[in-house]
Amino acid sequence: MSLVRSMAPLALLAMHGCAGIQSALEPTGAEAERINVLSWVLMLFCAAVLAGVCAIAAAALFGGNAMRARLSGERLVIGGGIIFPFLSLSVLLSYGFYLMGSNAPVIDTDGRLRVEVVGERWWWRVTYIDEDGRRIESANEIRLPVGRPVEIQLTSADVIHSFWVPKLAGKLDMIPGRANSMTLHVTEAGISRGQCAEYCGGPHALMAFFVVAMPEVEFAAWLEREAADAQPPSGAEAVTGQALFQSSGCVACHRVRGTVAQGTIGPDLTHVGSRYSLAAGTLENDPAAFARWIRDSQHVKPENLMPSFEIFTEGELDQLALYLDQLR
Amino acid sequence: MIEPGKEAPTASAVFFLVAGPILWAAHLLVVYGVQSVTCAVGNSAVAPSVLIQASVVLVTLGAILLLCFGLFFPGRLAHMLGYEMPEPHNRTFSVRVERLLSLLSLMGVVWSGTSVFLIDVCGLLR
Amino acid sequence: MELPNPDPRPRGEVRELERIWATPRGWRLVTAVNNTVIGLLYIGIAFLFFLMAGVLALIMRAQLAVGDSRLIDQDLYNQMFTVHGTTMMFLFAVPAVEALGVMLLPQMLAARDLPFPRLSAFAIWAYVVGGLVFFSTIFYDLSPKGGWFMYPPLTLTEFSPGDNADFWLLGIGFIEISAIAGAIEIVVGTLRTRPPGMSLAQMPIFAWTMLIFASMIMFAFPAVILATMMLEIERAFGWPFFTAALGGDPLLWQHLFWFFGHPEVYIIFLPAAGLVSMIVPTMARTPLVGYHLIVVALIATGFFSFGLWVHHMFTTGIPALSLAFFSAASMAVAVPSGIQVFAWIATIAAGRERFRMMTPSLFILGFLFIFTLGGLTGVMVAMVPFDYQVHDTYFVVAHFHYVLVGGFVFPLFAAFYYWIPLFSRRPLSERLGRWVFWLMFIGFNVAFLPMHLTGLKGMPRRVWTYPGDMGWDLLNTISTVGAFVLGAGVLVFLVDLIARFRAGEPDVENPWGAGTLEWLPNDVYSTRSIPHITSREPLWDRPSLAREVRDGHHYLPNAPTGGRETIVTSPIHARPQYIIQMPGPGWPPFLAAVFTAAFFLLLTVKIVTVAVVCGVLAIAFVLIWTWGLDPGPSKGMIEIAKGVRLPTYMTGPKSHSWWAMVVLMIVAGSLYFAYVFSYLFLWLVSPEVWAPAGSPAPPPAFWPTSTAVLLLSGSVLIWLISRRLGKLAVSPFAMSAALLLSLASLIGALALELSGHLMTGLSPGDNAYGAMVYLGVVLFGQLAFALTILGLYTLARYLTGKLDGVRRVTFDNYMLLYHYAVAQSLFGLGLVHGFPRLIG
Repeated sequence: MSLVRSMAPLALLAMHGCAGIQSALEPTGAEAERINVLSWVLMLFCAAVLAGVCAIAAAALFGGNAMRARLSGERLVIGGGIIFPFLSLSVLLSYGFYLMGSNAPVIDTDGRLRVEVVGERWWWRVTYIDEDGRRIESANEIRLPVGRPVEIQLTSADVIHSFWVPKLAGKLDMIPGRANSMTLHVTEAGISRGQCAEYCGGPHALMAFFVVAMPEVEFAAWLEREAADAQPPSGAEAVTGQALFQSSGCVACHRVRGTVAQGTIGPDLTHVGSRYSLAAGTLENDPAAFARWIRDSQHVKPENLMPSFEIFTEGELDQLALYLDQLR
Repeated sequence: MIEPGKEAPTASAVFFLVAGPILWAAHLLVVYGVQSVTCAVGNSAVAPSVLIQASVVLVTLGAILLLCFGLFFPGRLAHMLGYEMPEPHNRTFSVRVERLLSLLSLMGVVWSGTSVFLIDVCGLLR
Repeated sequence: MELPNPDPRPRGEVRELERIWATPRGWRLVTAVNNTVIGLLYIGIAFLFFLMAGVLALIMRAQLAVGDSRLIDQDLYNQMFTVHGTTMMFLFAVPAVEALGVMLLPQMLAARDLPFPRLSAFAIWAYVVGGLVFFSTIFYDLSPKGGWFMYPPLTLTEFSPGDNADFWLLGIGFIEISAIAGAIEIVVGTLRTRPPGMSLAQMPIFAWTMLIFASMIMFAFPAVILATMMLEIERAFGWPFFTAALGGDPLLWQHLFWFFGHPEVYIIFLPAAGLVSMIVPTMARTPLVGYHLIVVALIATGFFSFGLWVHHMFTTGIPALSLAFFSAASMAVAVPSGIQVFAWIATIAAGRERFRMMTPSLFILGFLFIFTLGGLTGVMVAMVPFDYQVHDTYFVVAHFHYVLVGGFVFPLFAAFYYWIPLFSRRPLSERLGRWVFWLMFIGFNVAFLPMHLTGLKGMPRRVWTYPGDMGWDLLNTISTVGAFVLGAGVLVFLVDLIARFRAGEPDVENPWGAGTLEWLPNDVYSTRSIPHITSREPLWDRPSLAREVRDGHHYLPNAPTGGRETIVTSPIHARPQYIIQMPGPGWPPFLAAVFTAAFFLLLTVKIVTVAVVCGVLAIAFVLIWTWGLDPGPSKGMIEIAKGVRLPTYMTGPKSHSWWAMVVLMIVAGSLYFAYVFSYLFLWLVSPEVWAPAGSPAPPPAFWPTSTAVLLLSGSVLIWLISRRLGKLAVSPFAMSAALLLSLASLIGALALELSGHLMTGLSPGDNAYGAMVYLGVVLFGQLAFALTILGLYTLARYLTGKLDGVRRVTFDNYMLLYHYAVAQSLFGLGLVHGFPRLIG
């Protein structure tokens, strides 16, 4: 039941397509909402000033002699170039300062839930730390409770990345040697997409992730499932897939908790089947995509650090894909 | 028609003309420097917020006073800097440039100085 | 006004001028140094880079036209956007500005040439060779792919193996050389080679902008020079300036890069605004309204632009209050731009007749619209919270293209249409000009206006592809169509240019009826005589001026020294001071430039031995070229006007050479300031690696004290030599020994400093502290290297009798740089040896 409900936003998304899923103009988070108001204020201000300048320029070009004479003195320069900018920019700047000041972290984030996100080339390592200090590792997808501010801690494992979910908040960089943190406060259940916003080489364009915001109760249930070990495969095909996974080198980089797969170089795959996307937002998540990714990862996402595994037959790929798809 | 090439030192002229922006730059350097270093070191005896707020306010007031001096007493500033301007045409031009630049710098100083009243001194605020 | 030379001039003077200033023909054309010739080459090559980088942009736009496109692959795209940005900023915009300065400045100031013609030639040839090689890397998969901003750690060897990133550092190396050379040339040119009477208050606005441009280069470029040095040293030798694990910090690069990078935008924009301020009054047929307001706006922009660099770093996690300081400065810089926009509008309104709608005017009006919009979106991104969203998105791509294309390319095209009649026998076509303008204007806005929305809808920059279902498809398709329309406009211009541009004397003098000096009758020697100036628009205020100048009734109507020369005037009031004798065509600047280019190129691909040979040859040719300079006072006093006699030789603080050295010292000083900033910055970030706790303590006080004593005694020695130079009582032997001794104490000081640190066991690769300590030694070593060459050169001139108490420019240069080096090194000793003791 709860699984069905937690997937409801996904279904909704499928019906409406993805347009707007990464738009700063359709905010569903507190900071993004504040900035959206600011954006509209700024856009209207700038449109008005531009129209004004164009009108004055048109008057200077085509106006009557009296009009042109009025515009021809230093008065216009001082009024339009010094006094007006000083007044209007003072107002804007104060508004900006006020917004920055009101962005102070909410006190009740501490202790309850933190999410560590590590930028890696070219994916996201996500670790939830709950109030008991339990660390739950995942990758390339973040789930958040609605209505509760959550602290996100940002670091990088290699080069500079930038964490950005436009619908929820502005971006913040992930810089080697530095730890940044921000608060995400989702106001509405649903899915949004985030993407790396600092050029990080190679497939920087293909480094995205989804954020799924769920009501508090469902989130708690989801987190419990996420904390659990992987489900054992069901069906002979999937069991063979698991054997293949464990014998073909996959375990050197990937972890599937509760199995012998304990690699930590690549994304944790314990519940990979339940995620919304594969390869950091590059592919949809279905068995066919798994097969394609394993066989062809260097074509799907050039230069990524997982080699294309061309050693598998079609049948083996299907078995592997089935196994991975079952890791929900 | 041509007097021997004697005139005020070029450096004096330059410093007089851009006295305002130099003060603006010094102000920015000091407030940014004090704030960054205090927040980064973070082990001073005084609470960083008091230290930073006090020094930003003081430095801003100082910069405003100096800029107002340049704005209202350009002749004395020129004299102090050793920039004598016997030719009326050049004097008018230099003084107008110096005063307007001081005025613009004053705007910049006031703008950055006020921020300390509205924003937490060391927080990232994200 | 009484004319300086009222009497009729003897015949044959013009022929003499033509002979002296003649442009070399055939393949010897590469030896030319005259500003109009090399300026034309300069602007031509810069425009070629504009075209080539533009083609890259079109290819990228084609790739982005629809989502999930695979027209070009990821790796090529990453190379392309890097080369596009780097080329547009470093190989097109800055050189194009300098080219305009080289071409127009002497004409506007009625000077015969810029004060250091061979330096210009050298800088231009180095740029031509280096720039072309850099660009060609795109054809063999060797281009850098770290973006034009090259952020480490992505650009460190670990994440960017291969030579690609080094080619970027090479390309930048060239622009650094030619920009600094250009800055020296332009500062001295505007302040010292103005026509008599043209006080600062009467300088054409373009000259003001070039002066500010050059001053900004003096302070902005050293930061990026230091940053590129550090990055290359870390790539090649592993000194960890930017590696966080060893106490370095990637943010240090961003501070240094943007301390250069933001002023860079205004370095490009201000001269373009200067062009506009020249064209608008002509087209309105009235003097500029608010001349002093515009000067104020230019100076203010120059300053404020240095207080904006952190606004490229709003999302790096710097405390909010720091961001607020820079947000305020970003607002402050908007005010001067507003002043200029309204001053131009007021000027348009002030004309008694209506504004003439010729092609240059169209480009000016297009510029006004585009630049105003770009400025306004600049105010938007200066708002910190808004920037959190749009930073590194297509909104910013739209913003800076509005600022740079609007603020630079449109004025540049206006300038092409406006000034080509000065250099071409035929002007460009007015009919095609309208096509060019409307295609470019419409194409530009169709391409870039939608990008604001694309960015707000969440599309990041520097992505080679994007999912097709994000709602970005249509916007991107529109942008691509617009980009190709813009390209078509440029193509029409190119066709017109090829069809009509023919270098040579124009049919019509002053076709626009302009008021400034570049429209005086011109030839290879510039104007026949150098006019006396009493107003800002001399051609309007004194209609007879063109005839008087042509008939030689103003200053220096002939070539009294028998060679190339121009008048040097005082910096504020432009009172004539002396006659500068200038060199003519020659091979050394060209060859020195080619070998400099070869040196850097070969070093990049690690063919070290040949590279060193080329480097030595480059230095050798520089020495050959300078050997013929410093002619001494042999020509005595000459008459430039009735009753006005000027010396033909000058030393000391009044001489142009002294001024050039002062500019160079300011450049070196700001480089060192950037070093001090970096040192303290890294300490603040990683105090745990700093001596005495985290690294070996600096050597005992005996070491730095001895170094300081050596340095100071060197300075005293130089002071003594300076006083005794040319005195009969001093034997040549003693003088030579003293010169050599001064070098020895300098090199001794360097050796002491280096061995002191080596002795403590500190190694530059250990951590950021070690790297900074040894970088200080490297900076000292650079000066010592330059001084060694200069010192030996001085000695050689002394021994060959080309240096004495009067003819002493070479020694003065050595002296100035020596004292500077001592001052810098003493400060460095205080920092490197004192600071760890202070914190320890």
